[in-house]
Amino acid sequence: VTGVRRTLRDNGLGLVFGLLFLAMLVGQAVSGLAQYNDQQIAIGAEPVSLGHYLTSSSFAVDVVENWQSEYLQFFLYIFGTIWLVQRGSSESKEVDRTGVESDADQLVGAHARSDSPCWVRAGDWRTAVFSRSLGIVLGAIFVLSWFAQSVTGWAAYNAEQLGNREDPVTWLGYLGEPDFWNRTLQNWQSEMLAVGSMAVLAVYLRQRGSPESKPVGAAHGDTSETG
Amino acid sequence: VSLTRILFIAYVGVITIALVYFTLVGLLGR
Repeated sequence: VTGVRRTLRDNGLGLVFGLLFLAMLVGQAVSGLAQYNDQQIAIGAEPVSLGHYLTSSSFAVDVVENWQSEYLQFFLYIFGTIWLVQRGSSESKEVDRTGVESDADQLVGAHARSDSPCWVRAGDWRTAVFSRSLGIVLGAIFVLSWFAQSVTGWAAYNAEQLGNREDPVTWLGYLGEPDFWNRTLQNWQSEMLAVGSMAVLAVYLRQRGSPESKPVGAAHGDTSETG
Repeated sequence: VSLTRILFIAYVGVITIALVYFTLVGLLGR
């Protein structure tokens, strides 16, 4: 039993946020279906089943437009914080350490340790890929989510156009529609505000015990120390 | 196999399958 408890404790963040994601996605599906059917009734159409709604572009675009902006946020933050610093922020590294840092700092090449991942010790293209793997994967999820938003938003937009007895648009045409850019930018703006405010608020504010914060007693000017 | 590795595979798998599914929903014009 202690072994099971330890395993659960050791994976608390991944487990709890994964379960919260599933619960909230169910909540989104239920409330989204209710709103969708309100609109169906308002235009004199038949309400749809949950199964129909879950396979609709209306549900899909609402999910993936939020996904793409979250992964854009993480992708930009991971890349931005290589080169950009914020003096005094726990979200930043020290102001004189900008850039990709030395092989010694990063335990790469000749500085790899015996317990380093094997692609680090390879020293060829595998080391180059592994050195960028977090950014590559988060960037790929962003691009794929944004593409998914474009095709699901396009399908949902055309369904609405047909309902209004207006002409459907091509996918490229949809990329020029206000609907696509409104969905995109309303999510992007909030992510940029959240990232910027996190970087700046963490200079002067503390959260005891959180690795996202400096120690409570750290000076406002201290950069990159975590509590 | 550790739970950490299972979580990694679950996250990557769910995201990948969901993105393929949603993209197909859009392309099929549902």
